Amino acid sequence: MKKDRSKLNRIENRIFMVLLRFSVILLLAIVIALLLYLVLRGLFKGANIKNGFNINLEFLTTLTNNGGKTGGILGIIINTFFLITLVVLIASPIGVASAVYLSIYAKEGRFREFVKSFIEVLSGIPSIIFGLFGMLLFVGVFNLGYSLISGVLTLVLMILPTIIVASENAITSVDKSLIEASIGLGATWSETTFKVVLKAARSGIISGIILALGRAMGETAALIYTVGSKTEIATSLTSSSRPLSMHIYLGINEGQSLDKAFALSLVLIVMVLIINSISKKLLKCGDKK
Amino acid sequence: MSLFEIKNLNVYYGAHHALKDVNMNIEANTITALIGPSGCGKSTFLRCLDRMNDLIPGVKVEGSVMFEGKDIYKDEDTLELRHRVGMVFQKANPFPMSIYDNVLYGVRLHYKLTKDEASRIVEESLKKASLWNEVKDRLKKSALGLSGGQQQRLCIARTLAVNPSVVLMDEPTSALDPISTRSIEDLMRELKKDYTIVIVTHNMAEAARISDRTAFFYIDERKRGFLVEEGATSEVFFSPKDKRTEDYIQGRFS
Amino acid sequence: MALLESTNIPSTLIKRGKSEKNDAASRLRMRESKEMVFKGIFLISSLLSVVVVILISAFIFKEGLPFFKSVSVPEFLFNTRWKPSSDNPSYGVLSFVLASAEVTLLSLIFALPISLLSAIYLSMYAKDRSANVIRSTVELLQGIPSVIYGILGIAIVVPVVRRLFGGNGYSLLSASIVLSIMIMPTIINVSESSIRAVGEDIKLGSIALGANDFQTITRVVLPSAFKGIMTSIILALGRAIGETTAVLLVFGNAPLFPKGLTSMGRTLTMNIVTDMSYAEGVHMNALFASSMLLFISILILNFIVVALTHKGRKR
Repeated sequence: MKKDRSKLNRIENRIFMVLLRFSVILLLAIVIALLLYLVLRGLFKGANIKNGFNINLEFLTTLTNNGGKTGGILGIIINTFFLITLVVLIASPIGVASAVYLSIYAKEGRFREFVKSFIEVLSGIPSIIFGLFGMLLFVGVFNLGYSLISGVLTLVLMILPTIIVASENAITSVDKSLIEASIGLGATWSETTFKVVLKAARSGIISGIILALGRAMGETAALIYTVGSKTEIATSLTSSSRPLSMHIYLGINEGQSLDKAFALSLVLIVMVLIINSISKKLLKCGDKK
Repeated sequence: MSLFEIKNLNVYYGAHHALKDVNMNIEANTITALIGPSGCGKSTFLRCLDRMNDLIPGVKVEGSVMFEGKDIYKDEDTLELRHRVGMVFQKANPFPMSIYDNVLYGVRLHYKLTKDEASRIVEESLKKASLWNEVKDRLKKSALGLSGGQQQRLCIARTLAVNPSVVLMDEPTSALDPISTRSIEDLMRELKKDYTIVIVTHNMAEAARISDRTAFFYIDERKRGFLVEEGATSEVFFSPKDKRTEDYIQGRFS
Repeated sequence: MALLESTNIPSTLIKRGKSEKNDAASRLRMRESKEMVFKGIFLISSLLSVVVVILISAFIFKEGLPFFKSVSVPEFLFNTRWKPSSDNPSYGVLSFVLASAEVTLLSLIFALPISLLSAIYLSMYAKDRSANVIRSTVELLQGIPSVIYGILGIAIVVPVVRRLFGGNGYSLLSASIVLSIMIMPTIINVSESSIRAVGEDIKLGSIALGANDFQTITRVVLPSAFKGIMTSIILALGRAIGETTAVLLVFGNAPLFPKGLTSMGRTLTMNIVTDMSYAEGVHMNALFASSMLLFISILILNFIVVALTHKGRKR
């Protein structure tokens, strides 16, 4: 027999609306709680102001001693800086060049779909597998040892898809009439790329590169078996050295206090957040144009 | 008492005064056509009758719209209203489900049905919408496989399935070919016996063909829509009271 | 790509005479060769991704396949005994596979309701300002490195689990909770775009029939956005299966068969990371065989995503 559902419907709807709001609030609460704890414990031992500072200027500006057990983390930060810079320098040209080929030269068709599907596969491969590959290829076959350069090359491969996708988006958003104007004046496609397209897509491309950087900075699994673990400042490409993310991870394994880990994490997250917000601002700037 | 009694209806979209001082009655079991140039508020007026205007952000409705003696804007509950006053849109919008599920969608919101009841409702509604014969062998197939005219008739069947008193139609045939248009017009004449129909149309010939009453809307210098005149279709078309009506119908305006 | 042949010399330069024509022609040839060089460079760069994927597969398989000379596939996959250093070594990864599966599924169960509901709220209800706040929050979550998630897990989740459920806190439950937070951004982002993409016209059609929001969303919007939501779930699955550092820090890393929520365990990824530092010979090959397993699972998930997204386009 028919049964009128209107009362039930009303109750259902009410509950649903409450659940919706509750979920969002829960989500926000989780994030705020995590960040708050991170900041508090990073700054103060045991997340308690009474216990005194966990981080101080000395921590940030002196070099590491004693395998990182004492002393500041300046050396680690410098290593991180080396790592990031090299990764950018190597990954960006390759990534942007790939994006240029895919969006400017390649026609819609099988080849393009073929390459794009491989890029998608690459972006889904877990970091540990990149790490193993890096270990086999760079540390092993190329005999570079556990070193800065092995880590750099491994990370380059890992962030390549991010840069390619972001650059592709930026390039395809460029006003087609600009490209037509350039070709119409007799420029070659590569000339058009360098003189017109890359300039116009600049902010989107850089934004993507910086975003990829942020990811690379926090990476651990890909570096465990490639980048080495010395805490001193790297003196050459082949020196073993650890960036900040590895310092945190190895620190826990080496028995460092959790408070120290939080201090390090706070520094790392601040660096990542700064980088991500630069990336976002650049993207917005590009949109406004 | 008329089925709808609209008094001093004013509609604002934010700061824009879209519809000004409309006063009109709509009787049961009639077909009322709303005509007028683009932007004169016909659709706005139509959407007031089932409060679909509420969905537009910043909308404000003043005045009273009485349906069966009750002011629909005073009552919080719009669900029951939309159960009684159904709407067919300009572009057919069947859900991505089977024809069967499309027809029953509205009914299932309010009632639990047995299989027999469900099949009966589907058959009745599709017959009323003149679609039964064409789809009776593929009820479980996706509605998106139907032609434009069939989809629109499906939407009509879906609206009829909940047994409304009123069916509002917003330019239901403007996206259809002449043959589908004729079949839907024939449909409307049939439906008049059991339902009240209010239809917005740009097609003057259609309005003249099928409606009992016609309401002519126009737009003033301040871009506000208003009701010029409303009356029996034969009068509005052949002996209009207002010169603007006469001009419009004679085709001097778009 | 045909170049515009600019053999017409601008009138002001005609005075320069015949030599100018030759110079112009040689300049053109230089530009053409530059174009070919750059085109080649761009092409090779794009092929690099293809090469890398093939190389990764090749290397992993090269190190992993020899393992199956000594140990059969069923023995590897369906045996829970992982004792590579004993006198009678055994390389059964079933405990790890199950641990990975359990932690992944559990994290999905935790993450899905909040993520889906938040995605619905974001795409259908949030006003501009709150939408921006919510989106920035999700972006923030996405940017936190796994090692920091692990640290936060140790400091916040583990003690709570210890107090509420007993044991030492390093557990399946802790790992699932941490992992669920990590995968929420993936589900939210992709689901939100899919829900946004649902046509306004069918939403209106549902409302005009007297449906309330809950009914419109569950009966029309979500079914229409189903493919996209499924894609987001599969992407999240991939992320969860491949996660190493965060689970390593909170799962306890005991190579046991995970019996309950409070038991410690070790996922496939954790096993690879833990043992690789000292493994050699067959042991190392076993770890690469595990990597093969991981790699193949990810490829299958990728395949499913492609199948899902391409089916839509055919219509």
